[in-house]
Amino acid sequence: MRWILVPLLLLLGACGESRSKPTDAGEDVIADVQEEVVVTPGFEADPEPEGPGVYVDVDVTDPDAPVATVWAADMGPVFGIALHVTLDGTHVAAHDAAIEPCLGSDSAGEAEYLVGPGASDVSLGAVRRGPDAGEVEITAPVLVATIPLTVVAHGASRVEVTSVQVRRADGSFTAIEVAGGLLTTGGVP
Amino acid sequence: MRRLATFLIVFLMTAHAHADVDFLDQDLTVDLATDPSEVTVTASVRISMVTDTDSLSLWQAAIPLVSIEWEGTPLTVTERGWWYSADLPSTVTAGTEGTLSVVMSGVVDCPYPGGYVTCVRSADLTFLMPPWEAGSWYVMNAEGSTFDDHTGSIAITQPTAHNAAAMGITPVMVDNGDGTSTWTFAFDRQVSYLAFVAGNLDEVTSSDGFSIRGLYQGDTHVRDLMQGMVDEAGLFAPIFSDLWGAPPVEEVDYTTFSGRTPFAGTSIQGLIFLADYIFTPTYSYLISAVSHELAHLWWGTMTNAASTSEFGFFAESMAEYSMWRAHGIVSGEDVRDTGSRMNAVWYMYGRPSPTSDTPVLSPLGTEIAIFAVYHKGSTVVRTLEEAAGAEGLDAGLRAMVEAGPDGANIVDFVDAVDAASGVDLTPYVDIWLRGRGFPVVTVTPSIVESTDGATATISAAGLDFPMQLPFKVLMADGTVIEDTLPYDFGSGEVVIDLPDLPACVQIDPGWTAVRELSPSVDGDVSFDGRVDGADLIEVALKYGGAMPSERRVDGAYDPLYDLDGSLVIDDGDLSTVVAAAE
Repeated sequence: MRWILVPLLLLLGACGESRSKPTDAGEDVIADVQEEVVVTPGFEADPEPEGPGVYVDVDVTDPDAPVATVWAADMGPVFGIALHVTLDGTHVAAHDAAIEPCLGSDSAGEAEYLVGPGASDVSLGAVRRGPDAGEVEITAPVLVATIPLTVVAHGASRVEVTSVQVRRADGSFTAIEVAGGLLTTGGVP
Repeated sequence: MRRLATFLIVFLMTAHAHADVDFLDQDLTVDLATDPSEVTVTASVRISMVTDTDSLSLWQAAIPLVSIEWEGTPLTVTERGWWYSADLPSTVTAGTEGTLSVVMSGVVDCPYPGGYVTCVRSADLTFLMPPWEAGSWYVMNAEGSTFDDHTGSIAITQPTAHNAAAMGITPVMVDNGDGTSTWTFAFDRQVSYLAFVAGNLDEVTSSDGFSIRGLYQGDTHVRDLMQGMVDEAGLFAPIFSDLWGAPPVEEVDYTTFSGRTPFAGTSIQGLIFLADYIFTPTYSYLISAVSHELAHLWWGTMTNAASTSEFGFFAESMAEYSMWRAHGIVSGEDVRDTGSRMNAVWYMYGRPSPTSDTPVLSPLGTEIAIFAVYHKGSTVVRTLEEAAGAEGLDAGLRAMVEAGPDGANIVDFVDAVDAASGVDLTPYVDIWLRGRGFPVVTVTPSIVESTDGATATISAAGLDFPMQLPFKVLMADGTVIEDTLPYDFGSGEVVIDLPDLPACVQIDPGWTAVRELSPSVDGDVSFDGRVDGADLIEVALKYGGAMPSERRVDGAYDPLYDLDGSLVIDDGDLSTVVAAAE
């Protein structure tokens, strides 16, 4: 939470100072304003789950086109995964989400994948083609999906992982922790 | 398609008239030692005249008639189709008792429609069942609107190494010292259907529970299967006893039988015949249904309905229901659910055409009645169980068993359930048992997230078939929340608070009713109001299920997940979910 407040305060402070200082104050003032108004795009991830979990990372290398990635780790045997990635639509929107073959090849008939793209709610699903197809062991972090984002407006907003269910071939559930994060967008929308 | 049915079906079709005479007791001797291809039966029948009588009406003999005497006087016999008359020397006044002595000897012939046989005689195996069409191996009164129950005994003489079983009676065996033994089965309970098996039969016995003997001819594969069956019966019989009353037999005997037999399984008192072909791989799926025949000891033997339209319900529907209920108690509810689904689905989609149907309360004897009585009927009993509660239902069923043969009827059953549970099943009987068809129910979920969880409102609408539909809310942490959706007059709604958004809502996962569920949003098989990965998983878990082409084959088919209507849950259904989510 501390991280959330810092850039906001900086932004507000910069606006206030730029209005109160005389324009002939010289280079120091300009430098001061530049330091405070430049919002650094970034993604502050929540602590990663220590056990079975799904978490999100966002690459903000291109501040105008951040890319979210969804990861799964330490789940053990997995028959199917379903989850939603929810966004604050006033800041970012999703488009062209791509799910990775984390449970086997789709074309080879091992698994089936689902992407329900929405501007602020991306549903993802991955499942083995029937209990006879067995489960896939997921231990080390596995990329589940890649979700390119479009910046709608400056600011910070939460990226959440919701409605996660991980099931085994007998239909039982694996309890999962999730981790989202705070995405700060910059640049000109 | 081979049918697993009971012998009782044809009996009711052949009873007629009122009785002028009453069989009190019948002692039979059966000689299987003298000639390996023939049978000699002597019968001594104690008879009481109900009215002044000058002739006896008897079922046609399955074995050539050698002699027939009344109190030592030979009688004149006249063939009359499936029965014959025996003229008494003079009119015997009402209230008189006397002994009818009959000797039959030769090759047995027990015809059955379609060329099937219900008796076999060879050096290694003899089984004689009650008559279906004509030809009784014992003396059977052909008069009366019901069959003439009596006490008696069967004494079978055969090679000493051979085995025998009859009607759940523990035998007394005497070695005659000449290479033969006589097995005597004495029955002091009133019965009219007599049957036995004898021959070179190996034996296994139940490991636990009720005493079950399994007689068989075959290899170790047959032995192992028979052992499994008698072990299951040993566990199931005490369950049925606890629920509805102890049976009137000391043991239950399973036996293999061979030849062109009409049924895969036939239950006669405590003797259950199992056709040898069910032990082959092709028909091995029938093994799981064998306890249906055990349940006929309660439903068919201890009680049955006099009404032909209710007979099937209290015999076949109940036997099928009982078997799956016992499976649930012994092996878990999932196993029971499998049977309910299989029966419901076979009725809904296995019929020759959607318009071909008949009420559950219909006479047996037609192909469509098999669908309605066995498959729909057994599931409807489970619907009644949900409505009245297991204890309420069992009170009604106990009352029917206590009513005895010909004593079961729907009105008394409903009254007994009402008295025990306060639930009036009349609307259920009128719609589910007297009516045709099944409901297609559209389920509309509305799930609203709140600060402390979520509230789910589940609505259902469709045809007016009353039912109490259990449902399960599966949470992603594995928690399961159970409740019931009441459905009456074609609609129902339930509101339930949840600790979080649900992972999945399963409506009637145990198939407690014959119904088709249809989500209001296409593809939303998880009933959470949206189509997403949860639905994909649900369909994938049912992947491979297929509508069977044979009765009693479990195709694991659940139509809810057959989104493209192909009768197979496969890639097409997964693709349908994916498309619906886009």
